[in-house]
Amino acid sequence: MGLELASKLGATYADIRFVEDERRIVRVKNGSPERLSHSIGSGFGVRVIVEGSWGFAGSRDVTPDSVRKTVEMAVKIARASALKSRGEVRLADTPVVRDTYETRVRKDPLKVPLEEILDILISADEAFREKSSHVRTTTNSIEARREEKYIATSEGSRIRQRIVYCGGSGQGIVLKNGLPQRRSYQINFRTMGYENVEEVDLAERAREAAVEAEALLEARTCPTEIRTDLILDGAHLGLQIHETIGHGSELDRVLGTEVDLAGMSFLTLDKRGKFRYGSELVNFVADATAEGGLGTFGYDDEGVPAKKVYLVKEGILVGYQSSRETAAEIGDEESSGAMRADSPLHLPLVRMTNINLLPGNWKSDEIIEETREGILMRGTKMWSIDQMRLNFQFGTEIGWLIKNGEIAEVVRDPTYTGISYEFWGSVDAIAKDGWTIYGITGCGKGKPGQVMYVGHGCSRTRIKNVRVGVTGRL
Amino acid sequence: MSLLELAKKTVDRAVKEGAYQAEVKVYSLREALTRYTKNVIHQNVASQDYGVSLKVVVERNKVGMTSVNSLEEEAIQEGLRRALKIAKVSKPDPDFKTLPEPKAITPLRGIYYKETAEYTPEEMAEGVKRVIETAKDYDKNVRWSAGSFTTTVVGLAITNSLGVEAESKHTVASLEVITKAGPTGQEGSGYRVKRSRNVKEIDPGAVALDAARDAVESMNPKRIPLGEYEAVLRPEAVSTFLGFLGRLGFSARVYQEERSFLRGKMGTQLFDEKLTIWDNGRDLRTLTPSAFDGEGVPKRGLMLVNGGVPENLCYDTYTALKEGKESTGHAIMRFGRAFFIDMPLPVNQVVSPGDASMDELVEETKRGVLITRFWYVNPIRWDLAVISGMTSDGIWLIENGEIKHASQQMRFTDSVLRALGNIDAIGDESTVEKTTNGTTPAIKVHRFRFTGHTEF
Repeated sequence: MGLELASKLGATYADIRFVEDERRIVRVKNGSPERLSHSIGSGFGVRVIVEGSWGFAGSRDVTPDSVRKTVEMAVKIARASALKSRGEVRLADTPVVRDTYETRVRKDPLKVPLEEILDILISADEAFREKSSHVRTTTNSIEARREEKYIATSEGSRIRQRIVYCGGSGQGIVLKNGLPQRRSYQINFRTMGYENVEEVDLAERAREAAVEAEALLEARTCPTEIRTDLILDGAHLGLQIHETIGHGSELDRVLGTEVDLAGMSFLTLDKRGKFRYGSELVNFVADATAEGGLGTFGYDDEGVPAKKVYLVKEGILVGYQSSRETAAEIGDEESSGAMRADSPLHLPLVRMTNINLLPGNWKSDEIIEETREGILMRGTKMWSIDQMRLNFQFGTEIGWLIKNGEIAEVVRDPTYTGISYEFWGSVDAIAKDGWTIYGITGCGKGKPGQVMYVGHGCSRTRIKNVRVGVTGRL
Repeated sequence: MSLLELAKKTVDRAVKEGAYQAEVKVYSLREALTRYTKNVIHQNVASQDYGVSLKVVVERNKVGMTSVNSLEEEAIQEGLRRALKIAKVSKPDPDFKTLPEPKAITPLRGIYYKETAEYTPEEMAEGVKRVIETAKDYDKNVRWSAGSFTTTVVGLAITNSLGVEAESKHTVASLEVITKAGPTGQEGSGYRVKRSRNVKEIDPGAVALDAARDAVESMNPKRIPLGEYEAVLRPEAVSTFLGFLGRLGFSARVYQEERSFLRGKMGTQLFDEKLTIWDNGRDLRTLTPSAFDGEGVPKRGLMLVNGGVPENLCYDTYTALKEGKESTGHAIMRFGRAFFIDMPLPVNQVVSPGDASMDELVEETKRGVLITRFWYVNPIRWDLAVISGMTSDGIWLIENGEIKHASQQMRFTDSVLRALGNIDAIGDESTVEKTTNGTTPAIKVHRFRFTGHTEF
């Protein structure tokens, strides 16, 4: 009905997306339930092209009358856009599809009894306290989400999807002589059923974190203003990928449509196929097909099938994450399939899927054994990067100085900084083992603000000669 | 049925179904946004959102929460059923004492403007057109403008089973302009934003002119050495500091968790004596004043920093009762799909102006920088309020009281306490702007540390 009306009102293209989104968060603080919440939202959004310009409107009210009014509003908005448009919007071709897609789920995480989840979280709390005598605050949480989407386009695509996400996290804050320190741990967020939670011993992870947190209280501060070899792994390496190549290769940023919020990118179109973004060991892909990744789905919110595309191949920038419109704008034949919205009321944007650093040839242990002097950092504490995705600075919860191939000592408050292409250009070792896709549930972008779930596959990586310890003298 | 009637009805039902206490919040949120870049509109959207948040307490201190994005009776009933189930299986929270008792709320006028609520997509597109053309006409070096024009209309009702009843509607409009001038590699960037509850107070031409002037005047930026500089911070830059003062310091929750930089420092001369910050949700000088907070507790004035001395923390009911105190009315209002913020915060800060004009702040600077705003800032050390981020858009080198030239953008790493502990001067009323973190004049700090370069 909505698509027919849009066409009748002059739309040359229209799509409509109905979504039902159910989420449950169970969070325990200091052993007591702090937030047990359950939310269900539904609604729809309509995109139209009228007189060559876009219009979008959305509503929570899924009734025929509301659909009519919302389509009319989208058309009205598109006509207003035409007042200052760049001309006819063109869309890259995509196959017309009638299909369904479902995350493979063995155990529905939204149906697991709350008591069972609380037991896991309270056990993790107790485990942290068992190993830490200076604990002040602990939090542990498990989250689950189900997203049902139906997308219909005026070109004829009709796609139903059911995507299920779950994961969890915990952290403990310890304090001694006025100095607070934090160690966190995760049940990696994935598109998967509750089996994702059951595979992990959260209490054991809490125990390990508590031991490290206690060590931080006795540790000296990370050396300041040194250059050394940096070793990253785990979820923190995922965030490094996220902020540099992940956001940097989003084509809407490259073309300037995110300048007022998320910024732009130095990876301009003239650099494609030529620019050395990383060393020859560095290969980045955007892969929405990766099993279990938090950015895995069947079709994006324009109905484009999930794809795996190279962004950086043997260190050279070769591709972008794109939409049908942005792909057409730069002459690409097809979209990379990256258009997603976090709500039916929001317009789909170019969003990361799973941005993965492909494995190398090293063994993880060998990377440390063959480092004469360096530092291993884990656990994101601080992150920041400039508007063009060049200068970044990160801080982590914990660092281990490495001397002559062995872990020498724990240091607290480590930070490092660099320029993204110099950083990835200095990679000289990537592990083949331990490769995992880490989920990030809080990727912010767009206006009005949207929060997206994305994934980052990676394994232990060494970067040569990085500037470490930039807090300076305080 | 009004939002308040719906909320009251739902609270009554919760009590009937066994809740010891219940709190219900109902919101409606209408947003319109026209976004533009490179002199064309590329995103033009409108949405109508609404929802109900339910908090129920059983057995005195077992709490369950749910939310539904529907005003339909059946959906709300299902949400209530789930909330009760969650509360029943929950473990007791020893720190939960009670929901807030009702207190008289004096209505606040001047927070809702029909002009904003009825602003049309065509008017927004016309405003954007004027921005683009004003900037282009200002100077031949202007290449393009980008930004957004938004209007928001919020209706909110909060009730609880102890008798709290609060209802309001308010509007906000915002026009943001970024203008770029000069060739690639020598590009200048200007940023200006005007926010108001009444969209008619926003003059797109005036905002565009300021952004275009800054863009042209920040062309040909040069790299300047890293290190410490005096810094003249425009209000948008000061706003970043205000945000971190709340999150890292003045929130009672952070203080109770022993992470606040204020631990052991309350009542001491922590900041420069020129600094006075008052938080008052009823102050119409702030962007989003309100008669009540996110629990329906009346808003009132609270002195945060008096002559450089931190005096009070911000409490909601939960954190206040933990210390046997009264809420200061700082529970955050949450609606829509905003990031989850789970702590009382000062969101209506007002920094007392000084007596220096913007020109005088620059003239009093021996060797320093003029900063428009910061970008992507995050904390490194909470206990010392050390933060790091980038400067953004116009930044200029000042020598001997005169602007010498534009600078490339730089990374800073410094403590908010160190910066605001050494204030040379505070701007007068003419420099005051409404920001998302508070209403503030420009401030000149004696030293500010830059730790990294970028390439633009």
